[in-house]
Amino acid sequence: MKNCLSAPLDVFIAITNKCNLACKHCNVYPTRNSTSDLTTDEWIKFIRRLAELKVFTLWISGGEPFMKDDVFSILHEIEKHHFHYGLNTNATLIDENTSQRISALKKLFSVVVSLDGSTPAIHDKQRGKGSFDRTIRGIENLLKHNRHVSTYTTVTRYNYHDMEKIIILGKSLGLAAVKFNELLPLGNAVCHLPNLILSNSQRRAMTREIERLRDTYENFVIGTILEMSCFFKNFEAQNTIQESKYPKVVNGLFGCGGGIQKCTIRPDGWVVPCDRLWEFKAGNIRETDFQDIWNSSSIFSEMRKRSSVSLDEIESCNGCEYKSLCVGGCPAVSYELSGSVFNADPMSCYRIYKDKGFPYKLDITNSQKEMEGYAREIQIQTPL
Amino acid sequence: MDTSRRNFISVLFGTGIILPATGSVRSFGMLDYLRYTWTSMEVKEILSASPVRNPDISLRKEDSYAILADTRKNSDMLKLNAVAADIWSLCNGANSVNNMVQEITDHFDVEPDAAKRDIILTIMAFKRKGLISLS
Repeated sequence: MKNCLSAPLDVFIAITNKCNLACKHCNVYPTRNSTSDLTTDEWIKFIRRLAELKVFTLWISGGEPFMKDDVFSILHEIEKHHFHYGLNTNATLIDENTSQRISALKKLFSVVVSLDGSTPAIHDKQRGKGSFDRTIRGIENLLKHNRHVSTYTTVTRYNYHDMEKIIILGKSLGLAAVKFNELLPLGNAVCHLPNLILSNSQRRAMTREIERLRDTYENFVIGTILEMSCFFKNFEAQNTIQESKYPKVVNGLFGCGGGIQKCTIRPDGWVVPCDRLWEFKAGNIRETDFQDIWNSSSIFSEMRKRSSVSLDEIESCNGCEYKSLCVGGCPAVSYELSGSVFNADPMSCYRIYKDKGFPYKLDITNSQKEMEGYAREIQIQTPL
Repeated sequence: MDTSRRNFISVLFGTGIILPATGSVRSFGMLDYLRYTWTSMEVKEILSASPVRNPDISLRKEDSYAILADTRKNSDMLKLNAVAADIWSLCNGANSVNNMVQEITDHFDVEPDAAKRDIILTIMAFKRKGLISLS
């Protein structure tokens, strides 16, 4: 019997590299603005293949999806099949007309809009001048047509004190939920890291704050920061667990399901385990059948082996008393910081979170140099 | 930019796991009576109906099991064993429970009475989860 699903359950599709913003924390790599995007016809053919393979959920993203010429042809093709799908956008290009066309998409269950502050001063600092007003206009256009809209905030030094105001803004706009996620040291974020990344004391304050906000605003507040806070609460409660009753079992590495139940398709057709593992090219759908890539690629085989690597075998986890409650965190962060997905992710490490001054050392010199060049390039290209 | 995390697969291995165990030795109270009456009514309804799959539910067959997902929302998925997957496929609006018993006993090594009980319990579980309707 195969040790994997016949096809992923979820596929994240970055339909274009093009974006009209140049956000400081963007995790998309320097392939952005390249001209090798799959054509609309190629995407349509691929969507049909995913339908044959009975993939259930699609997430459409970019770049900025509405920078893709003829994006609605792709969305209309998705509508013809059994999928349910979501859309990630910065909403700056969603005018009345686009919003009306989106409202006709019946199987689109959610539009997630990036919103990084409650005011132009905060949001634009991260996303570029003028973007806040355009994003809010886009959200209002979507909501006029009763679209289910939520927002996604990457929490950084610029906005961690602004979370409640973002929630209040979201409530007043009529959003379905606001989602707060942690900044990851990937892509463009690497070269802006010292300005963006929270110190551990700020992270702890932010975690306490998000718990308070969750208590106050209930399910309106979601996101990985809350998931992380739940994990960390479990760790804190560890001392109260009777060891004889619940014997400690050390887990293997288990991340988000990239390569196991989901994967990402890059705009140029490369299949990767996750949008955060952009260079983990398993195969290209222009050349190889998607199911063959999913079943046979060595990249996916490696990703699937992670769960058999015990935390006992990982050097950075030596002597950790929280091992039995941990699954090692995000493989992409682990790869960025240690060069291997078979290590633990320090951003998800409770021992580091609790004890040390910074989530990790700021010595990512190679990728930082590479990304600094990229940052200069996109500063010139950004239209805002 | 990550996709939402969710519980991957609540298990519907056969039917025994998802239904309350019967036969425990204790007094038969009012609550038990109501539960028994309600269940009897459900069984009666199932026996007289031809179940129809909800068109928004999508099935994918894997090697030794199948996965059901509700395409209207990004919700939990269900994992079915081979028998439950076959029962699902038979819920096409044309098959009564008796037809299903015939089909299942043709394909699996099982006594008709046991098959009938499993089919009723599985359909009851499908119905409670909104996966089928009874025509």
